Amino acid sequence: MQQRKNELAGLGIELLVTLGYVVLLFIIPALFAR
Amino acid sequence: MSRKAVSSLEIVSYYTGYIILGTAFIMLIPIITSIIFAEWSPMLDFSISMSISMLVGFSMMLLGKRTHQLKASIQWKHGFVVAALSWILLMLLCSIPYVLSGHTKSVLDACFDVMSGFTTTGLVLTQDLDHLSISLNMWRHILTFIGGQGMVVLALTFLMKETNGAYRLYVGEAKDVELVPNVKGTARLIWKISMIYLIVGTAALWIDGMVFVGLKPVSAFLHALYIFFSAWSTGGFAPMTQNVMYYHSLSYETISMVIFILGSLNFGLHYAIWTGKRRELVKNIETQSFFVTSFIACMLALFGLSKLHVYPDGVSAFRRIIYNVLSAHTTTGFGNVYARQFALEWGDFGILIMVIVMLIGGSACSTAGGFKGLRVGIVFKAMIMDVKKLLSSERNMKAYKYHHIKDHILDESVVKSSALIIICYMVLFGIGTLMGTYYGYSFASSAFEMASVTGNVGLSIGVTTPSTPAPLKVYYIIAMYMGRLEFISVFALIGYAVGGVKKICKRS
Repeated sequence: MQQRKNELAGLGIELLVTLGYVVLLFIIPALFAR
Repeated sequence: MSRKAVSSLEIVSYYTGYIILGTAFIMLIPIITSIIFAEWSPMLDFSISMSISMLVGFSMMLLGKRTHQLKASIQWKHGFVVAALSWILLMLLCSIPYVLSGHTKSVLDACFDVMSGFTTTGLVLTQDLDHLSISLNMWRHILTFIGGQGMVVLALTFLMKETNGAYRLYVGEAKDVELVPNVKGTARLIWKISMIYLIVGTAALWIDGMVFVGLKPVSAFLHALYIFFSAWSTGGFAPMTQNVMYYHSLSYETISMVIFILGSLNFGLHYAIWTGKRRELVKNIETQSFFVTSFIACMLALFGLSKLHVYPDGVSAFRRIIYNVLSAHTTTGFGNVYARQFALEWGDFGILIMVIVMLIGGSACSTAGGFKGLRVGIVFKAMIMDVKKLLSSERNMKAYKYHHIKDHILDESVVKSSALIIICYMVLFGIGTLMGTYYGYSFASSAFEMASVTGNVGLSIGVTTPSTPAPLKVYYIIAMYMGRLEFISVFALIGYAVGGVKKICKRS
């Protein structure tokens, strides 16, 4: 059970961090273009 | 039963046959697909291909059956040779459905596409992609998916019972991280991680495909599956000629971007994070290296291209510049600009940035190609270490470390082997660029295409077409193969073959 929780949390963290990085790279050109 | 020791040839033959047999069974997927979609001609093509592959696999296993009977163990040289040889034989066998489909100009083009798939490069010579059968499209993307995971990993996961020497086979395929102490367990974990992402990623792309792109449910599912296979494997194949540009969707591109970034990360890193070691994401030398180099590359490309006023607003700059730079850096090869746009719109500075990031590539023990962030990080750290040593007192004997899943001592041998691999990549790249210019392509185009081939990326500037000179196609196949297997296995195979020839010459 604990292992499943860890795996799910790990998956969530990886997705969030990567999405966060992509969003950061989206914001910079938007700011730059202004 | 003969008590004579099992020869190397028998061991190599047995395990290569095993891997071929494993991959032959994978052809059941396109066969089932062709039955579901009533594509009878492709079904016949795949049945023929599967029969031939199984025959070859069984024959090789039969030739080396004493390996199993006497439980002969695999030595390092066997592991490397089996990995290198099975990739060549599988390239030939897996190209049969392409040749039978009539979508390739020649056998060479079919072999090129298979090697491009296996090595997760993504360059395409198959013609009329938009009208390919569903089963052949499925096959192309499965090739790239299993190539990313590794054929040896596939065989270790689903076929092999004995683990005696299996680690040597596993390392032969340029994967050297053991997630758990036993290599079969490691291979299974690699598949488990990929399968979980397969469900999550395909579902996200499927929903997006139906809601935002406007595809019908079945078509959206197939496109989602294909794009996931390619993105996760950092492959670059897409079902349509226009690659991801076909979807005209910011959300679809963003989801694929998240998938290919995750796919380019080390399986050891995924496992560490999934087992509660969250700080690994920040401490790991590879993630540090990737985020630093990719961020700098994106910013440089952004500044460089803004001067050319090609992409005037933020959204188009993100979709065209950031997407392509990240696609190149992760060695994916999804492109949302036409090949010639790189040559005509990106300028020398933009092309140079792309060449550099394509050569650096993703993480070791991932599906990505290139030098790998780990080696770049190690060499960079070694340079800092040398400067520090120069500046400190002679008695300072401090041991320098780097963090990759656990702390490692940064000794001379690690730095030397990393630098050697980087040099091998550069030589491969240099020769290919030279060949490109010899055949009349511009220096920038030759360098771009060769970086894409060497780093197993798949972005094209327009050099790779069915009319590309055959010697250049052959060199590209060799470069994709060597780049993916990281040289050592290929050198071992060459050494083994030369040794065999010498023996035969001596006997005669």
